[in-house]
Amino acid sequence: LYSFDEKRLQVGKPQTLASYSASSSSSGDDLESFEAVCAVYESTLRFLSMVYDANLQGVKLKVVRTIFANVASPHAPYQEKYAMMEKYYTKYYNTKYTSLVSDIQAVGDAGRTLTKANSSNSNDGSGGDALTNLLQTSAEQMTQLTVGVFPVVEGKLFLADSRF
Amino acid sequence: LTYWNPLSHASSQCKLSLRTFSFQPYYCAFSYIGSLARYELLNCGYNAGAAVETIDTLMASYITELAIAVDTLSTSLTSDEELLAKQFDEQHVHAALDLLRAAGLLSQKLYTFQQRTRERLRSLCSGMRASIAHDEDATTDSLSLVEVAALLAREVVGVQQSNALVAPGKPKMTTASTIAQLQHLSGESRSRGGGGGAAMNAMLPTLYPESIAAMNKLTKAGQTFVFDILCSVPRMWLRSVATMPVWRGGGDLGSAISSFTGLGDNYNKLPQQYITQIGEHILALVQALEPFASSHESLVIANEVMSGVKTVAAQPWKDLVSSAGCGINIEDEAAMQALMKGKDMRQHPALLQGAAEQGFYEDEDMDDDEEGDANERAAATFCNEWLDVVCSAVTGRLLERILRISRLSQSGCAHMEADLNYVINVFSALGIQGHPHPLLVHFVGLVAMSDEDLAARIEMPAEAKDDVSRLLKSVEQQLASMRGIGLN
Repeated sequence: LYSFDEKRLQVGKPQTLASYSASSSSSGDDLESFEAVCAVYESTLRFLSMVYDANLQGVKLKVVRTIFANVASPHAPYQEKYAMMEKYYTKYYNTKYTSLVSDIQAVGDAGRTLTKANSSNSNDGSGGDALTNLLQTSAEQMTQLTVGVFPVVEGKLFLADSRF
Repeated sequence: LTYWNPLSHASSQCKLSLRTFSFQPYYCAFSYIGSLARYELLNCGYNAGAAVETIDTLMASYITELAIAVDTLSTSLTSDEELLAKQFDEQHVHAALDLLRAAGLLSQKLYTFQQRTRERLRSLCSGMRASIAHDEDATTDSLSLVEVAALLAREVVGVQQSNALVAPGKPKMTTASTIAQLQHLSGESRSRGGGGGAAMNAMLPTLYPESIAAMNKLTKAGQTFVFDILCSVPRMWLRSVATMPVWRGGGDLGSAISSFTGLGDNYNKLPQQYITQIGEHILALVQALEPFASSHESLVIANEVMSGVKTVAAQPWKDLVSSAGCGINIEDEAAMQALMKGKDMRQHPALLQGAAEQGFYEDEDMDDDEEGDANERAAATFCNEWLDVVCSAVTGRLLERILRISRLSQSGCAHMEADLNYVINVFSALGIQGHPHPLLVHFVGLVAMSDEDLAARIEMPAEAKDDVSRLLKSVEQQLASMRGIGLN
């Protein structure tokens, strides 16, 4: 795991982002993403829970907390700066979010394209079909896009099912 | 990991394999989690205010993009008025209403998400309470995954938060104050005070104010989009009304034909093509709106974003008031809404007698048990709301166009009377509440009035100085001016 500052610098570099996209598309493994950090943290929690059951029973919680904090210390900056990281990551680098936004913009642009095409081919009689098609497609896409944001902002955490 | 005991490796392996098995489905599903889930994982309830604000900002930004897209689509299509008007089809209305339903769906989901966030914050609050209840010097048989997460969050974020938020004059943010914040955000503190259900939820402060503001923009964009589609045909036909030569008596085909055939003035009084096209379009909208309204599910969702729909028809009325130059403040929403509604205008003494009598108004609290079932009534209400918007916009725009006519001859008056009477009949046939508008009927009276009567009327001083009096006086003077009736 990279240190927090090292990772933040990497995320900020455009060339790194390009390589991130390339690597994520080729390997399907989002090692550079905030989600990956969370995945590693989640694994760490699972590991610590198992370690406690296997080896730390009977040890005072104060001591256990210190040990665990040391083991999970690389994650601490992400925990402390969650709000900032989340805003930055989701808005600019979460491909699910950014692709949804780009699809939304495409819906808006489609109207402009049709109007331009219609003004250049005003006499061929194809404007009506194209307009109907555009409106129907836009409505369908918007229906999908309006609900698309909720998995991105809400998501599902397995912890929720086993919470206290 | 100095406490790692190799001797217990065998038993731990057994536990490990069980744990791995039990978490396997979740682990597979982990490939994607959302912002709120990441907050739960990393912060376990600490810094809840900042987390909720972040999620709000992200959602607001997204919803704003949606509003911009709908707005862009609407603007692009209306930039070429003939494209929408000449190719008008019922399917366009269905598609536009589907898009409005999409906005309604988002509104529903947003409120559901807000509710679920509250539930999750309550759950985090319970977890935090359980976490701090542990005695630091005590031991426990096992630590669940959640307990480990809470332990670490308290160690990292709780401590850091306590240190960071110590500011002069401000209380130190402790775990207890974090719990209080969670209780406030989740509404737990209020729910303990009594009440519950939807009524209590409505009283809770909104968690996502930016998103709700963006949702309002999307609602407006969706309503405007439907309005643009529904009004495309009237908008195109009304565009050139002010410059039609028929008002000045030039290009008057009717007069030429009547003088040639000897049919007399009645021929002149046939409504012109522009107004019959508009009337037929409005009557056809009933059929275009009904299929969407007949789906109860779609209707419920679309009704989420129907609030304040009549404001989309405000622009023609603002233009009308500006053309009249009567000094009504067009930015005064209440005054403009009252003018558009026209209900109060009916009682006005300056209104011509016929104008006060026409128009369909019913008591809002009338007993509606007789009229079909609830679904049918909801469908009729939805259709009527949109027809009201269209009729209102057509009325406002038509009157505004009329005020822009430079000269109105005698035959022009006859044509106008026929046109206005035609559209009044169309509105009456629809049976929409508030239509025909009293001002429209008042216009017919003024157009049909003899020069002498109109001259006498405009010389009478206004009895009152309210908005309606000033508007009526102004349109009377403008119509007189168009007809060449001198003002002293």
